[in-house]
Amino acid sequence: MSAVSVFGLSKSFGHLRVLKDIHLPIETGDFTVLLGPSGCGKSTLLNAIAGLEDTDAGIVEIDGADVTHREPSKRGIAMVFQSYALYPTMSVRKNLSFGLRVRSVPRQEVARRVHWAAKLLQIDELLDRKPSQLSGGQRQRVAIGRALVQQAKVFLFDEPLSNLDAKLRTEMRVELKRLHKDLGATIVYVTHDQIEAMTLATRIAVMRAGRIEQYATPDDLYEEPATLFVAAFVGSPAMNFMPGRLISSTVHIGSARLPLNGYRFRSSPMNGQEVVLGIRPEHVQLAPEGQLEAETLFMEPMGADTLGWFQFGEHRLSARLVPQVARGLSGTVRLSLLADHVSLFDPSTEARL
Amino acid sequence: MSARLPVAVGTASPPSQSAESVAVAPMVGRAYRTRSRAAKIALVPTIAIMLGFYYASISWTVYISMTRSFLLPIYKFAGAAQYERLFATPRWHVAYSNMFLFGVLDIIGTLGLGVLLAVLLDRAVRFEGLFRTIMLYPLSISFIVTGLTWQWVLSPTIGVQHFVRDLGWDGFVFDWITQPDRAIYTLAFAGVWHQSGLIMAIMLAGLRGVDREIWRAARIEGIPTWRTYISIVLPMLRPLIVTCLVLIAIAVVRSYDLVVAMTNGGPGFSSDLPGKFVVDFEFERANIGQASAAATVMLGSMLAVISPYLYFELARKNR
Repeated sequence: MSAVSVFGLSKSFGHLRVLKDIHLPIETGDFTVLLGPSGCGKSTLLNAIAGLEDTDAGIVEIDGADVTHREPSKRGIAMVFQSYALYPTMSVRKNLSFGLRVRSVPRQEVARRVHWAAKLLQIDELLDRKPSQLSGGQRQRVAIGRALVQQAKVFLFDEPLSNLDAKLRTEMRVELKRLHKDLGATIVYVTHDQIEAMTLATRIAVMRAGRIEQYATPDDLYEEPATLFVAAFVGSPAMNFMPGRLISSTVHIGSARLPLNGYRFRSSPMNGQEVVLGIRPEHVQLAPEGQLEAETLFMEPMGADTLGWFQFGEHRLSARLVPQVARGLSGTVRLSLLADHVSLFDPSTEARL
Repeated sequence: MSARLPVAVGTASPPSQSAESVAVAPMVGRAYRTRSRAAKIALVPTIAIMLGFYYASISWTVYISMTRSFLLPIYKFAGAAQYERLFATPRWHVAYSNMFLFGVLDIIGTLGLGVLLAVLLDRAVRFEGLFRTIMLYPLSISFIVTGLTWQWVLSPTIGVQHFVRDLGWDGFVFDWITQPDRAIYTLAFAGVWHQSGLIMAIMLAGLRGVDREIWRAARIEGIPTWRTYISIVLPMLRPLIVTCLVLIAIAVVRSYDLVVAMTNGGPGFSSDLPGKFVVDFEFERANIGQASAAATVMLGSMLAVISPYLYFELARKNR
């Protein structure tokens, strides 16, 4: 059974349609990330699931029950906010327990849950402090703790790590992953950071302009992006794109020929069809017998590997290189594109071929 | 040392601030010193005025209250004689206790009504602009006009009582302003009417500044709206509430024009307030000794009420 199901959800602000007929089934125990650039509607979708935002059409089900018209507190959810939204005048302990006490959960039960959450998040020594006396990372833990003590069926996270610095963000990412593994909780998580999405998610829904472009596992998303937008948005450094023409299972790009062996076409393309070929930098390699002849432009060292930039005709191509090899590189080189890893898109529909 | 002055203002800087001032020190140079000198020179007139007119006058008043001055100042020290006489004056007792009664009613009424109006406006956003203007309007009227208007409205012969009787309820009585034991309440009522708009505006600005995600978090946790206000949002606005409290308290202590216009301290001395007492003794009865003693007691009471509160607030902030 799905933990959360969204059917045909639509929402407009005046003339602006922020959500367009969204369908999203989320399985119990999934870590689902809603990923997209700002303004794509991901936060609105999360708020609609939470019940903080009214919708124009569609149904939201949580744990099998239709909750479309229920108050947020009656939906069996807990939420962590970007600004943490801790109650500043209350101690950490009070922050965790206040909501439960208001809903008349017995005092002993409250104490038990607070103790459990504090232990799990390693904030038991901070329980008597005020939020203003905590660091960003500690505040984030308290905010997560406040969600955990609710013992909700679904946990919603609205860009929870975007206020943290880079190092802390990496730490908290690992922490979140551990929590998900230990608790087996169902999580819906909003972010615009594709690395966060790739590392945390069991499934990612990439959104753009109020629609879900692709809903798949991180691996599928990375290896077989369904649209040009997903291909360009996911992955860092970004995928290379070159326009070409498909003639009898071979892609012609300028003078170069790239035979496609075993490319799994989703539809049967026409002979001579225009295509956009996408290939990730790690699938572009230096090879003496490579299909392309290109000029070396410059190198971007990234530590573990170096991103090399090459000019091929009018296109600029990046390749992930071994630093030692990249260091001595200059002039004209030959590049090989690994045909098993290319993606082809229809330039008019932007969909994967 | 002088270079560190701008950071260490308030001299008794807490440990956390002194660390900052050390960090700032390296960027301090000659240019900075010149600039700080210019700033100090610019402050001289203000400081001179403060010292000359404000603190010197206060000191003079306090000293005169300890002499036997009557019509003209006499500078021979006479201890607490004026105070003994002051506290033997029945009118002073009425005025002084009225200040507390008026103060408590005015503070509770103004703060309560102001906060309540702000919360209501914060909830029902629709006519906010209109309501805010209406509620703030009384503040643009002087205390004199406020006092006169309410005097007319509350007067039994021309105001509400007269109006209701004309409608047919012949037995209707509403004459608090003419009753010695009730007149002070009408003063408090007019004070609340005059000031609650200001408190509302200040509190509304504060309420609007509260992070929306706090409200969302509370809603998801199922905390009712009224509970969110009382337990979460209003405690967050504590510094603003303190500011309002100080504003109202100052208005209470200095209130003179309202009394003069509305009841003129009457009937008898029943609605007298210390401000009016001081002015009457100083200028009408030409008794500067008694007036100074009364003024000094006002100052002392004010300090006694305000200072523990300020002390706690500052201590909280420094912690």
